[in-house]
Amino acid sequence: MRKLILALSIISCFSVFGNNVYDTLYINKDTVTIGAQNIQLCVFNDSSDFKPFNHLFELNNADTLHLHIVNNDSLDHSFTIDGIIDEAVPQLGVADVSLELGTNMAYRYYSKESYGHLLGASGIIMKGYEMYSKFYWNMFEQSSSLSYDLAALTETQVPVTYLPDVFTINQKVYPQTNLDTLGKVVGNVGDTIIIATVNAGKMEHTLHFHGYHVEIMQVSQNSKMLGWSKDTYPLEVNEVIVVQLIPHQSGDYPVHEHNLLNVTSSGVYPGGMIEILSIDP
Amino acid sequence: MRKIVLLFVLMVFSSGYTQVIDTWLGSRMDGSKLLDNNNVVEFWGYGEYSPGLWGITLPAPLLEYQKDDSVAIHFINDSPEDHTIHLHGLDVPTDMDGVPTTSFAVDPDDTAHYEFVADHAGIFLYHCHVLTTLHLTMGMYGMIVVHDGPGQFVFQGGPSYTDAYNFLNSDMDESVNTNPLSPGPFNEFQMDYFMVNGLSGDQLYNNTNHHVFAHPGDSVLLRIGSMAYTKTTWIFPPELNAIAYTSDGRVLPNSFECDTLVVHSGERYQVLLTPYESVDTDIQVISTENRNNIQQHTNLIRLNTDLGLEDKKEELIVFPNPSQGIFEIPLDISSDEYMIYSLDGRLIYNGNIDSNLINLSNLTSGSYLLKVDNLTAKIVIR
Repeated sequence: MRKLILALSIISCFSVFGNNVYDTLYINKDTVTIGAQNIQLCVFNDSSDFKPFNHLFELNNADTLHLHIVNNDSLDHSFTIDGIIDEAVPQLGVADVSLELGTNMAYRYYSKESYGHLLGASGIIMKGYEMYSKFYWNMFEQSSSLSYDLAALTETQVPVTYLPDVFTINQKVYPQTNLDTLGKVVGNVGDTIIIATVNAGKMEHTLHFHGYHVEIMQVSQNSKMLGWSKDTYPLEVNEVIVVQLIPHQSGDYPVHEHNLLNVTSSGVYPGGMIEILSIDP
Repeated sequence: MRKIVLLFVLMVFSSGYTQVIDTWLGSRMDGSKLLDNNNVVEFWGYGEYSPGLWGITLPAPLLEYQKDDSVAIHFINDSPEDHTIHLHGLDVPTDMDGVPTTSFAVDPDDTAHYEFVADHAGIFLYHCHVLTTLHLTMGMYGMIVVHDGPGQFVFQGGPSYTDAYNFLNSDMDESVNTNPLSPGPFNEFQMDYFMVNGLSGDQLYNNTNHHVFAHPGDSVLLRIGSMAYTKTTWIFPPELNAIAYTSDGRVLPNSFECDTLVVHSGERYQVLLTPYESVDTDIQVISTENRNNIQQHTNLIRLNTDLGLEDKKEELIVFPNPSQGIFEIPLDISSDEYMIYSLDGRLIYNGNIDSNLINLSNLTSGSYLLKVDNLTAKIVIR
């Protein structure tokens, strides 16, 4: 009996200190229609079937992530997290990585190739915050014509004439953002809600919350904003910002890019980068 | 019984402590603006509404309240299209939020009432949220200041200031404002005209109403907000010792020195400048296109400590201000005539000073310029 208790204690202890999480990522590329625009989109999916959004990882405290990465593209890619890992994934090849992410926070993973991240291959790994409701806004804008040039390798960087016509959150435009369970914030007054926001695009974005101020819990570039209470905050290119929302009132409240040019879809307002928070009493 | 009476008296007394401030705003779509490049464009906007002659301004009138004020904004849409008032940053309930899809739009020739309690001090904005991409570039925006109680403090318990200046960044696609009925795909707007307080270039630089004056050792507060779609960068010369204390209507956990302050669309900051020595310098305000991160325009704001001494000698001080409409004029004023202008310079009213008093209680609540003997005071009627 004593041995059984000891064994259970050891198992319990191990589970507290984390698990090995095994997963497979697939680098897929295809043409997709977002709003009324056709664009070339490159993404990290959880299967070989192309899905027009990047896979989200949620890890518990001290989990170790073991990834088998399959590159279905005919071009070399990478699996990169700035300052942590930069693993090449050869064309039509595979790579294996193990990640012991230290701090509980949101991480951005991406393909560093221009035909990778500039075409949308950029996802989120969320570690920790197990006790809270969590939502994810992966901000990405694109010029439909540029996407074809990037895919054809006739363009390898963002031109000064960049004129995006697709503005997405989790590769969706408003009102489709309302149907996205990863991004659509639902909750109750008094809840602690964590929202991880990542700018995977090629230009700065500025988010404005109606109805609430949020507290900035993590910020990857503009570090002085840590701990600020804001209703509007900027996301630099490649930036990761995690905010905490504790709603004090119920209702439906928009959150949107405050550069209103980006609240359009194919040039039509309203569209693009808008979420609607739905908070019950 | 005595306790009930006492409780009743206390209730009446405490309810009397909550000020209800009425603001009358109208919207119109017939503004005409001369730009610094001498082009004239159309703009839409808000103005302080009165039943008679009234007009719109770019930016819209500054709205000022005290923390904990109960505010009622009475909105008259005197235009042929729907409009709203979104109270940006004031965290109002859904039905007061000014977003047509989640609250309501105000039909042409209709009225509406927006009510809220100003429970946080700081800088806020208001703007139309109908077809927002277009209505903002057409000019439907303004700034709200919620003061933090009596005295001139950035926030209660924080540093004091000697004078305050309000600056609102904005921009426009000139071709859209020239022909707003065919605006084209909204994502293709090129914000090719950058303004501070609705002015640009020499219009701004040469206008003393938008200069910053200070004595050496003064602390002057800049209230900065941005309705620009572009990113704006404020560059304060080091001798101004600029420190940012609040953002988005909240006190920052750690104030910070900011020789350069980047203000994004929708953000607000309060920055204290303390020039310890005499300076004659310019504050640069640069707009940067977000799509390619290229700087587009630079506006200059004059800051002068020596001019400040002269300027302050010429200041007209009336009492009380704000008031319900009765203002006391200093005894040394020789003229017996006064004039009232709107903030955009239109003559609204004139009259005679009677025993050092002027009675403006027939004017609607709002901010005006009072001119007597070539001296000017900004007055607020509540």
